Amino acid sequence: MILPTYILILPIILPALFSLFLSLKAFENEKLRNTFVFFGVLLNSLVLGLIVSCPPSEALTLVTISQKLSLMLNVDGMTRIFGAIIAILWPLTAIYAFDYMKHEHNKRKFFAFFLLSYSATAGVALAGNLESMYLFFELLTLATLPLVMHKMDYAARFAGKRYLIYSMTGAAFGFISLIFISVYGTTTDFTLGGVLSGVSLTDEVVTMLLIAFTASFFGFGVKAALFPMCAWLPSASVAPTPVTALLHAVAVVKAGAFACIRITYYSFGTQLLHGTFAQYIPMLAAAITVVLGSFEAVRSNHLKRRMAWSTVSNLSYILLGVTAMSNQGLLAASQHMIFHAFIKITLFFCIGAIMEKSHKEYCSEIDGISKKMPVTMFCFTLSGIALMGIPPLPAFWSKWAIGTSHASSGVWGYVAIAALMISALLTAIYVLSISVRAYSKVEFTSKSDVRESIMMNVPIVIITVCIILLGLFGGIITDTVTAWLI
Amino acid sequence: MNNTAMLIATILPLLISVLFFVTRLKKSVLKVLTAITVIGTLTASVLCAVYCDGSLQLAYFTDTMKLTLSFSSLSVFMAILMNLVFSASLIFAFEYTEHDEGRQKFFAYSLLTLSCLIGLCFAGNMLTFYLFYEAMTLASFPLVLHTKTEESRKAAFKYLGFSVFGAGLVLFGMMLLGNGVFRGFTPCGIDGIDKSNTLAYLLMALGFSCKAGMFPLSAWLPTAHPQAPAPASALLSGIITKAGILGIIRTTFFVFGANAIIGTWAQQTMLILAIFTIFMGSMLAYKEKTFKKRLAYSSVSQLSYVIFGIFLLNPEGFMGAILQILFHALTKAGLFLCAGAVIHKTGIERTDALYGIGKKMPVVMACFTLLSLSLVGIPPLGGFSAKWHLISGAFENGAMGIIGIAVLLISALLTAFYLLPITHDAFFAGKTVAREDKKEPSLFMTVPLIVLCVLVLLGGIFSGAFETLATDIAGGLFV
Repeated sequence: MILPTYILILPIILPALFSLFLSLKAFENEKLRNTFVFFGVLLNSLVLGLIVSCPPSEALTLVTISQKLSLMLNVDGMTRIFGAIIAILWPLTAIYAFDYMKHEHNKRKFFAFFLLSYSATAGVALAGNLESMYLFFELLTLATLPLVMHKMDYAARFAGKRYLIYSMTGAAFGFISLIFISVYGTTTDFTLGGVLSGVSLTDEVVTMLLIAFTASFFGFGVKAALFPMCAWLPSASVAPTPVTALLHAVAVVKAGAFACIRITYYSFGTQLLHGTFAQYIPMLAAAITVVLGSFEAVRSNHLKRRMAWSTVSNLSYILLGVTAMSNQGLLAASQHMIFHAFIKITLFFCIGAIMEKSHKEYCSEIDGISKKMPVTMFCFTLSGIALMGIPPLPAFWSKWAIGTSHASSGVWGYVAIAALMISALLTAIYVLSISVRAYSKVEFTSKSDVRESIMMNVPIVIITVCIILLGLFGGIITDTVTAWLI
Repeated sequence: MNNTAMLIATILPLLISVLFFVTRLKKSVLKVLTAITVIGTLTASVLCAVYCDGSLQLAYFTDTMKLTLSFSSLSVFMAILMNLVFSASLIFAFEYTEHDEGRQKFFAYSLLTLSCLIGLCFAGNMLTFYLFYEAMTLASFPLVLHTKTEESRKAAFKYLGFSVFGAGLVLFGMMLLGNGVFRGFTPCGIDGIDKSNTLAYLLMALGFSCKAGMFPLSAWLPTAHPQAPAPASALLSGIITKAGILGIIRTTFFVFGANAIIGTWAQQTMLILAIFTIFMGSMLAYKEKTFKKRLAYSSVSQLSYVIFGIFLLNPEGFMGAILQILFHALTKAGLFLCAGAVIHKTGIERTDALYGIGKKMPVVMACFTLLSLSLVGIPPLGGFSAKWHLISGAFENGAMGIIGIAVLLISALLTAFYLLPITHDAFFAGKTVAREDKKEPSLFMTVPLIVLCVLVLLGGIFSGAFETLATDIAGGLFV
């Protein structure tokens, strides 16, 4: 089946329209509104899924700004990977959010922006050249800002402001790459292998390009919480859990990693970067973030902040794969992107369920909670073990791929692998210490009656099953990713 | 078709443990089911020895990444040994956990660990091995945690942390070698990997040595082993540590091949560390007054005998290592069970409070004495033949071997010093012991002990048979 080219615009327009409708019309009935939102999300996921499974053969140019710059949508391997992740996880998050948000205020606003950020994320995935991606990247920041600030108390507004400043600064640095690529590159369209390979460059220009690349890697890396700009992510965990789970473990932060992959492999090209300081500096920063994130996760007692730090660490696993600057590294990074998305969203959902149902926020308060929430805790432990990288659960495959992609890069590669190992150890501690407390014999005490809800358990169980399947069919995933990308 | 016996031995304990997790069984049913499972698994392992040859593919990921179980004399030897000790310990645990509410969890996790261990023994390649290795850590983690006190929580996390770090080192080494390392185990080393990568080798060997409690990654062992209930301590010290040893054997002989390691600095490093650990462990055991902790330190020392034997990298040393694996597993499990019986019946946990215990629990303390003598290395008990081969292997190894022999002898002396005074106090208290009721435990506790003692005795007397076995295992490893 060959899809018409204009279908590419749909995943961006559809949620925006639904969002617009939702903000114009006040639904009296909550159920009706939820159905409306779910329908919008599901429809969009179906369209996106269709695009991912049989991509149109041509790119779609929306606007031509100048000779070199245009807004263009296209589908390639990375688009399909990122698109598949968000298409699967968005509807599940919606189901979870309906129950989670039951007692919150301003639900209409929440869901309107929830839909809008779907549109922006799909835009990032579908963008066919650097300037389009930059546009949607900025839009994503703006669309998700109200979600972070949702509670509108002091902490939430502070976190929102911090998020905005960090992201905008980051994007500004990212913009540097756009300038250099548009000046020196043959085109700004994403091409695997980069757009600078056929161009003859003087040494000074190469140095400048390397500096520009490093700056914009860190710039786009801000969204992926790359050291030293990683502090916004844990503080943004004041947002409602569905937001933290989907946006700050999957959509937004993965968009950051996605952008880093784009500039590394599709704009500058690894041929230029491999073996230079532009490889080693980001690699070192990623290695530091991997360890730092896990370490801070062990130190934080607050459940959600612990998971947020864990996300910081795992995002840098992806970036570590990216900085291997080889096809192997690209495969490894995109695999970890998939696996981490599924694992972390489950962990966040479980944590959120605990916090929402028991009103406990700290690890030290949840002794014995497994009696009250057995399904949640089981899924939590299983995905936690998956996060540690125990075969045959999925994260092992991606960690293995990341590690082996670094094995040949000498001493720097050893540093990277050592960072992975230390982080694996810390992961075991911060995940299992929660499980151990939850499964301890102590009688769980709480003011309210703690019970699991089906609406929350359904997405949790579905994604946990997905995790197991992803692990068992790790080989097929690797083959598919390879076929899509290279 | 025949190879399904391996699968049955691996799956059976797993299934029963799942049953234990999801249902709530009566005490008697629990015991009967456990007994049937361990004996069933033992039978299946023995059947493996008769029927199996070749390998069985469990799962396929990519061309190099597969889960396979494969049969070899090494794997079946380890599997039967592990099953024997498991049977003894779990039957012992019937009485030990009499008043323990967490009984069912205990048996569930123990059987889960058994399943992982059997899988580990039969693992046909490094991927399978690593999978079961990590799974075993996670399955045995709740055993250390069993009492759920603050202290046990700390010990458990120490255990977990060290184990995961060790496994991380192994993974590091494997990553340096690339996908090729996951090809099936081959007696002279896998083709197509960079065997001169000594760093990768050392990382893997050190990583596995963590489970075997070798210095510098030994600190967890004396903390974690005594924290578990006594039958679990016996399993941890006697059996689970052997998983690390098996890992070293697999890495050395089946991934790299002995030829790639002989004469490298990795061999020297491991020999030095092993010799140091032998001495350190014995010294610390000698100074330790808590019963179970002393035994744990003793394990640190005794396990490094095995590592020493392996890294001599000659057939004689290897035979010594195999015999030491066998007899240390039986002996140390037995000693921990004795300690457990004493603690269970009297509550005494310190070695200097055992005056006259031999009068109250003669069978237990007699077993203790016999096992102690074997650990020291008195002929004709099993421990002697192991040490004999270790020493004669060390003679072939030049200077390092001579130092090793000296340390082995010192350590044997220290072993006598830290174990025999317990016997001495127990039987010759030197003062009149108040006539109390006999505290001899029931048959559930004494029979497993006696069985272990008989095995150690018979094994020592007929050590020729085991030497043949060890030669068979070593076949093709030294070319």
